[in-house]
Amino acid sequence: MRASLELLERAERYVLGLLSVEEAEQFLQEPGVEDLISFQQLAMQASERQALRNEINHIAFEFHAGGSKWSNWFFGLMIGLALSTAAVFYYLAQKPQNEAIIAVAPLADTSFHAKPFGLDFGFCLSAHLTDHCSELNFDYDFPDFEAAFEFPDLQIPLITADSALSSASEEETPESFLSLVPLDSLNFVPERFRASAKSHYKYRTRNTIEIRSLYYSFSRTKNRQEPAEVLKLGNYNNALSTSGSQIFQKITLVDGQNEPLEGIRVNIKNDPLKQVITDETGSFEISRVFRHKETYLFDLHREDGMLIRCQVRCNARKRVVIQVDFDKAGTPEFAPCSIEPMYIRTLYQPEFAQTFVATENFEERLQFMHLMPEGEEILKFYIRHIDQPLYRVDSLAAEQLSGEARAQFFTFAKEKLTGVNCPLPNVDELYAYFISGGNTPADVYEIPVVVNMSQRSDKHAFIPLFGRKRTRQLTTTQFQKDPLFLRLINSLNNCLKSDSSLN
Amino acid sequence: MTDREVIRCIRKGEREKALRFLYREFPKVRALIVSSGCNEVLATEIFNDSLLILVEKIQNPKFELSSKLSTYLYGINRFLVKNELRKQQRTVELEWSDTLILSENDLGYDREKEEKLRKMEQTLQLISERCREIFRLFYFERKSMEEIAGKLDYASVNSAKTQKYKCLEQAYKLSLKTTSHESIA
Repeated sequence: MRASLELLERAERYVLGLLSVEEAEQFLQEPGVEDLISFQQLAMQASERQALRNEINHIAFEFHAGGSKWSNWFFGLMIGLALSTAAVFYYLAQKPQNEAIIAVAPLADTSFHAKPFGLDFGFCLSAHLTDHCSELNFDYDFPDFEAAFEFPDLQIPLITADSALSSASEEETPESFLSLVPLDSLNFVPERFRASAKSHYKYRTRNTIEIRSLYYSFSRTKNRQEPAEVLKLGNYNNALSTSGSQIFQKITLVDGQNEPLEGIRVNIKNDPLKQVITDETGSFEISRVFRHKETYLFDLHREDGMLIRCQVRCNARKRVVIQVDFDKAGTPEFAPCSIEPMYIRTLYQPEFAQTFVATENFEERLQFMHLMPEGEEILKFYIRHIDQPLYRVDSLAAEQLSGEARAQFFTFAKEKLTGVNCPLPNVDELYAYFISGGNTPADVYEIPVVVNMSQRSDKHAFIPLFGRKRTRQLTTTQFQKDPLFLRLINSLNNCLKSDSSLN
Repeated sequence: MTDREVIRCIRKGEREKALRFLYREFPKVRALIVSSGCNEVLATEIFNDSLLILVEKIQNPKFELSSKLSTYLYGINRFLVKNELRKQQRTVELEWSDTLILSENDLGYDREKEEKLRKMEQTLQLISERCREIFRLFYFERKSMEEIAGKLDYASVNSAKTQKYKCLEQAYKLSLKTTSHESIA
């Protein structure tokens, strides 16, 4: 340890009474130790206080979330009525094939780390299974890079309810459980990979199937280090640069090949019927009216199977043209955006549903932040003070800014908007969740998640959303995959629909 | 829960149960605070601060309860409300019935120290989340560095220790900066 750190260590030991009398006397002889000691005492007490304050805030939140006795009675009555109605409907219409998954809840670790392409990616694979769908689509979700690979040819046979669903086997993949189909286009050689299932639960009742979680991690086996070229997969270099001004700065293939820019298919996720092809410059253009302020998702497909997922935020109720250009070096250029998409995506998580973040008013501020060089810092500042009235944070944010941005945020402050009528969130937890992009290492609670999550409401600014469970605030890791789950559920529902229509 | 049980829980580190019990007093206290001229948000802040003070007092082994715990809690709240009103340069005579009138001495409340602590809490907000977590585990949860290294995935106990002191150094530098800014101002 450095000398300065050693001095701090001794100060700490002194304050904790761990130094002998001689050591303490010697320590006190050193110049400037009084300040260090008083700092150490304060830091310890302040740390304790902070932790205690968090505990109290947590209980306060739950207390406020509990509501009044009358409202409890009212909600109890409503829930009772809803349950009775559901029971009647259940009795009247027992048609198994029309049911969908009712809950998906990850139980254990939801992300694994591997270095498949020489980069440290954290990823999570999940899948759904039904009676009617034998093909599973895996989304490789790389949250830190706001990109995803898809291997549409990867198939896993249906696991029936009777299959032995043993938990993770680190040695071998049970053949009956999982088999990988070689992906020729990607030179994926399955025997060189090991698949292991982590937490894995499956329940089947008369007419519902509930998969509580299903995760796989892929890694190389037998300690054979395969050259990266074999994989022939794209390598995102400098993706999401520190400046955060572009979604991708540079995309190159591992083997150094330059792919033609022409003819890349672009699927627009929010508009499934729409597909455009890039021209010779690699550009494409979409023009449409957006109903709400939305994040639009694009999948850029390439011939080698590589898929890049990206997103663009749009203004509300205006006709906008989104243009994505690729330069000759294969660098797609996106509209400048000063906030990492990871943060924006995190804001859409249910954790923020009962805060001012989930309001139309905050969206307005966010739009300005997008355009400011210091936008990301300001956004973090808002989240750091999420328990404060909005106008106060506006005003504090304005003080940190200059020029037009400063004036704009003071204008926001003048709106005197206070906050959502909800109990104060646990700021530290929420901030940690935000900063990590929804990857906060935290205890995972075994709480089922309701799949049909409501989208955040833009219509009713400062009216809290209902139906959020208090428990959600704690379940940080399990929600980070919400968009993934939603995609899975949508895909499953489509599958079920098509299946029932065949019947 | 009896007062004795609440105190025992807090001293044993089972704060949550005790705090939940104490929080039941909030509606009544809030009404009193609001009637004294503070708004709802401030009432919540004051009540939460009063719990903090109460827990800190109880954690002191020398603390002896001389009244009902709830009465003592009301007394702390009354003191904090008066303090707040003084800050706002308002002098309102608080007529809280059956409430202890506690002074700074009774509570061992040192304004200067409280102010320093408040600033230190703000400084700690500026360091990284991970640093705060290390501090929380070490100073609040009283975990050993071995446990912390394991929990936070450090390669060794030494690297966790070094990290802790780096965090302290960072906080120290920040606190010096804040102090120098204030002295300039």
